[in-house]
Amino acid sequence: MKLSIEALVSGYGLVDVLHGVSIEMAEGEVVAVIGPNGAGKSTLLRTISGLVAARSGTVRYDGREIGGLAASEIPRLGLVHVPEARHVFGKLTVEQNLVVGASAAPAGSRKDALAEVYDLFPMLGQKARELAGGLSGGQQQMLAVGRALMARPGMIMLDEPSLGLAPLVVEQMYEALDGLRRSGLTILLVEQDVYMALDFASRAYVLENGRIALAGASAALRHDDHVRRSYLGI
Amino acid sequence: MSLELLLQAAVSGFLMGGIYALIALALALVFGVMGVLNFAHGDLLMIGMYGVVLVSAATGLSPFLAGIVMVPAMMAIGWVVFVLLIRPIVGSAPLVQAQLTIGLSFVIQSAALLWFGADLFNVPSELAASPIRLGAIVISLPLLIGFVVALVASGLLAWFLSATVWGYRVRATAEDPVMAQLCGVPVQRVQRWVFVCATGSLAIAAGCLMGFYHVTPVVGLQFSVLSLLIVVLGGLGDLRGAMVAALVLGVAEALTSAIFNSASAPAALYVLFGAALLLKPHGLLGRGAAV
Repeated sequence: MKLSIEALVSGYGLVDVLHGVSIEMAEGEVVAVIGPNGAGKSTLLRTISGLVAARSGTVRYDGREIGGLAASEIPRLGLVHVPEARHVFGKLTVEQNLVVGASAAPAGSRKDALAEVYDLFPMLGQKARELAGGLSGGQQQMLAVGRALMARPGMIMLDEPSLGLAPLVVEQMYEALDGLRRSGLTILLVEQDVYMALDFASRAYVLENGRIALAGASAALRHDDHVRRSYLGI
Repeated sequence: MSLELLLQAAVSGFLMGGIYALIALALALVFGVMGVLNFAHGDLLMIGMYGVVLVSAATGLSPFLAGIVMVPAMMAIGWVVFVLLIRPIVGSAPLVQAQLTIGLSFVIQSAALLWFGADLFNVPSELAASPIRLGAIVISLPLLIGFVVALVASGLLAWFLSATVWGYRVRATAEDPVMAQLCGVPVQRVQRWVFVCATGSLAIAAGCLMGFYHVTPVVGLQFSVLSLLIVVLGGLGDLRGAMVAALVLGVAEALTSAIFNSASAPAALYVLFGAALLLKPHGLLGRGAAV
């Protein structure tokens, strides 16, 4: 298993947000986590990437227990988190953002990684010397994904990559992500646009109130009554 | 009041402002990268100034070179202060940070008073005896050298931040430490090294100052206040703004001393400061955080 999460409990302060979540992902798989606001989707990703400490349960990446590692150590193993709301470094140029993204990878790979990212998102190459703060929302999202790829990841976790973007931009974004999927990158996707998520991922978990309510192949979930009523509005 | 006298004051003030800039940049960098406003900044500088006096006396080196010799010692002090005192308060409430660093300031002052007494120390130098004359203006050679050394040090810092990979990482950490961690930047190590290097750079500033200045146990407070003024005037988090603010304050201070008297200079700086906050709340260059 590429990623294997067992009975994960985590939260903030006195409150548990996740109450025993288990997820398994194989190498090269694309899996979505869907669910209502407040279900714990972002907390799940934040716990995996070490920003929130797990209270119990295990998180294994490539067979190695990563619970308890510092957040800056985990990308070095090849697992990179692209958080919600993009968080580009606005006062750095596009290229400087990408170079910071390569901090987890060996210095020798930076040049090749940069060329690959510019190949995937030609817009970033054109704006390499502009401040990231001046980019549009869609461009910043592409930069956030490009920056994650600079770490030469074996797996990326995307939190709401379509949030707040125009439909046309979302389409462009997913075209690029599709290229990554076909290249064999393992992707864990959190997405509020359930149509989009089920379209893109081969499997999905439905997270409700900090528990996995339902899991299965995307095609099956699309026809599930609960998913149709609650998330697809049918 | 002759024009020559004003011009003389403006030039000297500008040169002094260059040294202020180096001192303030170190404070601004620490504040930017770990969010701690270090009220003991000037007292760390004061340790460096005593260090320069001791090194100069022991070796006969000029204060500028003695300052460079003092860099590793100041870095070591920075390391200890960071690990014991600063790291535990990164992310704490501003009041806690202020109390702790003000407390550190008092401790350093008292220690200096016990060790060196209240007497004024300086480094005797022949350089002061050979000023440069440009028409009616006389430029003190130690001040000019101090200015150049401080400018080179500030330039190196600017180059490091804007043109090296570790510089990008430092700026990324300053802007968004959580995201920097997710990029694999070892944020705690970055914070430690920024504090260590900022403290080390104070040794260079101390060398620049001791070419023509004196040190007493209370000299630190004056530089802490001045640096805070410069950092806020420049716009919190804006290093270029701090650079400009330092030069402006240096000139303003010297002009006030020349026109009125030296006792009125600190008050004049605060008048200037208040006016700037009203008119330019985001700093002189308008790019910092609002105060």
